[in-house]
Amino acid sequence: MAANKLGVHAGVWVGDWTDESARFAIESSAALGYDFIEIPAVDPREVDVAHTVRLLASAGIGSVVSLALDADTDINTEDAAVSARGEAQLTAAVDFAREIGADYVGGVTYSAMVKYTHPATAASRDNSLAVLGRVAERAGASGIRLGIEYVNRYESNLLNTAAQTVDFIRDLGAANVVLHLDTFHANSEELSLPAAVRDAGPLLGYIHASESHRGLLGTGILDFPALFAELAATGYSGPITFESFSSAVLPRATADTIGLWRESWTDPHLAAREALGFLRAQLAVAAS
Amino acid sequence: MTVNKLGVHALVFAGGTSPTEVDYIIGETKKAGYDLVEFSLHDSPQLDVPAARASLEAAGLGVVTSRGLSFTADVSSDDSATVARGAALLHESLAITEGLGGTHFTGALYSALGKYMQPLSTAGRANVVAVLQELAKEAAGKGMTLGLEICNRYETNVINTAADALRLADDIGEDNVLIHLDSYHMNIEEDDFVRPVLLVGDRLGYVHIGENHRGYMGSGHIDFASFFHALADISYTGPITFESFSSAVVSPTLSNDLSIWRNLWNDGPALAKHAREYMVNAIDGASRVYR
Repeated sequence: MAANKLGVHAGVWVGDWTDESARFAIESSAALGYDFIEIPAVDPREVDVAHTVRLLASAGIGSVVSLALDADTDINTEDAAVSARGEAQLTAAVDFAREIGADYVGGVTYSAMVKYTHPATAASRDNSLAVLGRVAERAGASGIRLGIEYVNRYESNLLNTAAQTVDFIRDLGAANVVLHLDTFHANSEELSLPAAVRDAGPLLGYIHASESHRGLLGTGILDFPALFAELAATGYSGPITFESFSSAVLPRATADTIGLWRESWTDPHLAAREALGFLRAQLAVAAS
Repeated sequence: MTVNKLGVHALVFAGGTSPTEVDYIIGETKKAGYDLVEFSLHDSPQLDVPAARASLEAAGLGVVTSRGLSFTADVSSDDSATVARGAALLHESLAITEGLGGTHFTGALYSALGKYMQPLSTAGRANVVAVLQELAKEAAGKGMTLGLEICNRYETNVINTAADALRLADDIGEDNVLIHLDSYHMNIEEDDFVRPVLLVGDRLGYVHIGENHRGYMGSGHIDFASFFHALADISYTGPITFESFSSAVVSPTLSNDLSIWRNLWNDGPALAKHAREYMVNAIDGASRVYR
């Protein structure tokens, strides 16, 4: 079985993607021994993409791209203008991924990441499927996989569980679309982490390892040994990315969006180093 | 018979509190064997208070009330008019609680029940303290207790952990302001289900029991053995109320506020009966200490 590649979310290190931030995040990730870094999609007009490409090459690590739509770029909608802006955003993320050599674009790609005030409708779901069908085709042409990260009830009204996400991906019917499991979100919605892995089945393609309170890995409620045992039993060989957020790093606007009202840690090096050790230990125990 | 009074949230049975719904809720609460029912006051204009009180007394049931505030009537705001509307809502809700014959009024009494887009401000927190001091004094005169329900980050920015709640209660400084733990929210914010209980200790006044997904007790992954053991270890004798939500029972306002998008059950009475048996067993088990 191929070893899982281990990654770290850029938000552990930095709150933006200036040349200086990109250097710090990429070099710090590589120095600790991560295989790749997850980079939130940026506006190529505002960022020196070539600089990111050079940093990745010189650090010798891979990259993936993530994004979350917002209320103004939502494709889980019946509003054509809003949906068109969302499709443009998704398309730009795929293009950014291609330019930096990333083989994966995932996140809240099917809906806005907001507290909705109404349930999803059949029409809004259909619209999301139609848009993602086109985005998946564009991604596939560049050998990029598209990830559908289901989130908790407060961040989307469309996909809150692995089972719902499997149905959604089947309806989408594109071979390069995978299910993205985030343990923080699964904690609020699933019967258990192993049950979520079983529901995801062969569509599981990407994992965010994130604690129940999004702080340091291993300091919360989640049963990681059970998760890793299930992953070993099912032979999951895909990427696993550490995700954690602290108001010590994130810009206030991002922290406000995700409801981050307290500082869970202040030293990103400590958070990322401990997480890598934790993930390696979990994988080793589960494989033994 | 447990040492704790066991309750059930009315939204297990019905989405509103019209006279027909209240009668149905009280009848089913009694049938399922509970000691008390918790009414959310989000629908209070529909509630016929004297009639509900008469029905509760006839059924021999206790009552607890709960609510969250709204962004237009929010005591954690910096805006004095918004704070005043929130305070008025709290005083009115306290009067309804008294009218129902209840002595315990709890919930997100300190903020809107919703996703904030900025952190709590210093001025906003001072407003919470001032309003709740006054409300607590009024409640004390009536022999009533206020609960500070600790909610997750998506439902308030005021108190997300037991430590936050104790600091707020300390600043309010009134003996009849107690802490309200909810296992569903704890699962998102706390490090485990034991330390918060030990930290709160004898200042714990009310407990909500709910699964991590808010569905059937035992179908999720919350470590209820640890939680009930911790409650036994602090000799908690107060009420414990089961809370669960499904898209099968819709409140026009609260369901969307709470993001209840999924159907986790259809039969509220069966769910309530099962939850009571689950709690009775858990409390009984936790009381058996072998040394």
